[in-house]
Amino acid sequence: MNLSSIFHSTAFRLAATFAGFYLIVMLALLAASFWLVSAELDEKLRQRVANTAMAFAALDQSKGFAAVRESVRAHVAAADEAEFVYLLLDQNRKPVAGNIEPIAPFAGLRVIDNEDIHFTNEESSDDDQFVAQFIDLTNGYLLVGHSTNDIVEIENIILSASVWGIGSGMLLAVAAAAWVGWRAQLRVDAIGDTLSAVADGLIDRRIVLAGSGDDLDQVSERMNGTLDRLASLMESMRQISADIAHDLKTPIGRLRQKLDTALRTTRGETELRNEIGIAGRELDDVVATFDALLRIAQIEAGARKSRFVPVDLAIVLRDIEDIYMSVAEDAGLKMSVALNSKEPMLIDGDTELLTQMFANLIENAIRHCPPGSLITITLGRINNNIVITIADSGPGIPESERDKVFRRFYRLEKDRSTPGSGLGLSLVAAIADLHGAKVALKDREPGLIVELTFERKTGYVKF
Amino acid sequence: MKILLIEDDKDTAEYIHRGLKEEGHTVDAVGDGKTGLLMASTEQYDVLVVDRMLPKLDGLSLVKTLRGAGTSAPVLFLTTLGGVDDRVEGLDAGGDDYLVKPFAFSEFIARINALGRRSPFKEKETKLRVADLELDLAARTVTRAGTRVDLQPREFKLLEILMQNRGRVLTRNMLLERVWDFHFDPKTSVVETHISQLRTKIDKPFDTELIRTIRGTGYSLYEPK
Repeated sequence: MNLSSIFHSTAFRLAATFAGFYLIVMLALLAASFWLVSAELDEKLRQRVANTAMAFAALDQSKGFAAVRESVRAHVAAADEAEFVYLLLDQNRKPVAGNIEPIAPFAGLRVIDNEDIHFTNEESSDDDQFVAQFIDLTNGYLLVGHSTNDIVEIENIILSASVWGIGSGMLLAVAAAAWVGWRAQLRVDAIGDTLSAVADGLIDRRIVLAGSGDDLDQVSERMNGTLDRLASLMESMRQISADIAHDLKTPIGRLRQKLDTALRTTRGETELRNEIGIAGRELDDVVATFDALLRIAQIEAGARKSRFVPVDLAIVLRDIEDIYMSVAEDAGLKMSVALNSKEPMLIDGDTELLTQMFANLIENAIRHCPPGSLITITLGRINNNIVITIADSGPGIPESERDKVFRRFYRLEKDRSTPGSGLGLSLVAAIADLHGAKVALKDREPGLIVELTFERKTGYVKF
Repeated sequence: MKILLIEDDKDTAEYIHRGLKEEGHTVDAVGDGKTGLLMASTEQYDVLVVDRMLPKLDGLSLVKTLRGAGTSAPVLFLTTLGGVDDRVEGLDAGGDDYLVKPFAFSEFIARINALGRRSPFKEKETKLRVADLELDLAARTVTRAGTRVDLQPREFKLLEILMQNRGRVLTRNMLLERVWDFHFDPKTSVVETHISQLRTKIDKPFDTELIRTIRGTGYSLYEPK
């Protein structure tokens, strides 16, 4: 990753934005504090000058002009820094004491600049401003002033502290944001690398979770789920290609041989017509097998799922009962159906596919059971899941073969010589899977129980 | 009947063309969608046979356009696309029937005939009658020679479809689709069993046999001359 990608990352931008807001707030606070402190100090200084002036006025009242003159001289001598400004004028505005050249009296409290006054000794002050006030005395005028130097110094301290503080704060914020952005970018890069690896063919790679359960972890988990599905689809496709290549070529090969034989050995037109008719029907079987394979693949890939609507399984099963009751009777079998529900058993699904699935299972039972057998269908609820069982008292499926029967083209050992494509149960498995149902095969002793469990979805239509 | 065949595969087109002519139909055959659209819009046909995968304009778009322009001639889609969603797409686009290749010719002809002619009964007819067999759609009753016959719902539907298509051959597949909504081939004798049950109730106790088995093709209901 490079610098540009860090600065473009969402994490960095978020962090930088927060830092920015924080800094703006800090600036505002500092500015407010500065202004308040400044105003307070200013006020204090003015008070101080006013008080000093009043003190001198009191002295003048009590001890007279001469006392004031002595006091001013003493003050000027004592002040070693040009912090204070004193000017004592007599009634004719002539200077009597003080440390500045005479200036004209003014009213009230004023701020005077350094340019407006001149200190009498060469210790000219560097101070820029003075807060000063003229007071009327009995025999003259007195100017008392104090420099604003202290205030300016404090203001400077606050300012430079602020600048340093905010400056370093900004630097730290940028650094922190960059660090946060870098950490986030690392994780985003990890996700991107995994996806690229999968796209390159390493289908087993999955995103490693940071373990914090945060939003990136949640998305990563979901992506892993999608990758799992992708891997299973690819495996399914691979299996289909293998199945088609191997298992369709066998009947096609057989057909070729039959046609060959017919060409070489048949005698009359009738026999030839017969052979051609048989060949035609075999081809139909091959096409049907191919179509069935394609359907299974499409169902496994999720076709039809977007058209799912609420389906009442009780209605589907009643329909199946309606259709197959007489077919079972014709085959010498008894069929009993127990739908243990007064309320609708609703799931999201496709009626056509579900009907085909149940039809397949019933037909399996009808074809495998000897006359006199019993087929029972039940529908009920266990632990909030909808459970459907189709049981027969026929030969059943040996335990060793139970997990293999759902594979495409799988034929039970004992059935190998009988007609049948071996795809019926694969289709059942595919349709069940599409509807989120689990299929389990159990021993009825004797016979087979096929158990379908449709998990109840939370937050679904009220049962 | 006058039939328009829109099929780009020459072998298939010739096969169908010849077969239809042997059955006595008049056939116009074209090899691409654009020409097909032109012909279907300018001439009157009893049935349109349309392949889905056509050059210049595909079958689905062609039929959608025709329906949008108000052409009501029945359309039979002929196609290799037999996937779980394909038939629904075809019917949604305005097709009336959908047959997957390869098909038995008798299946094809039976479906063409079923699409071609208007029903022998007026639309909205609630009572169907063939010889002395009467089916009342509104009251859901069946009588033959004045005697009430009790039928299960599926037997009723089967008889209804047979009577509505009086004189036409309905193949096993057509019956599976229309009576049971099965779009797959059941391995058991669903159709045969129900036909047999129906016969026991409405044919055997009476003089004439109305339900006929057409060997190699399907079933038909008609009054023998």
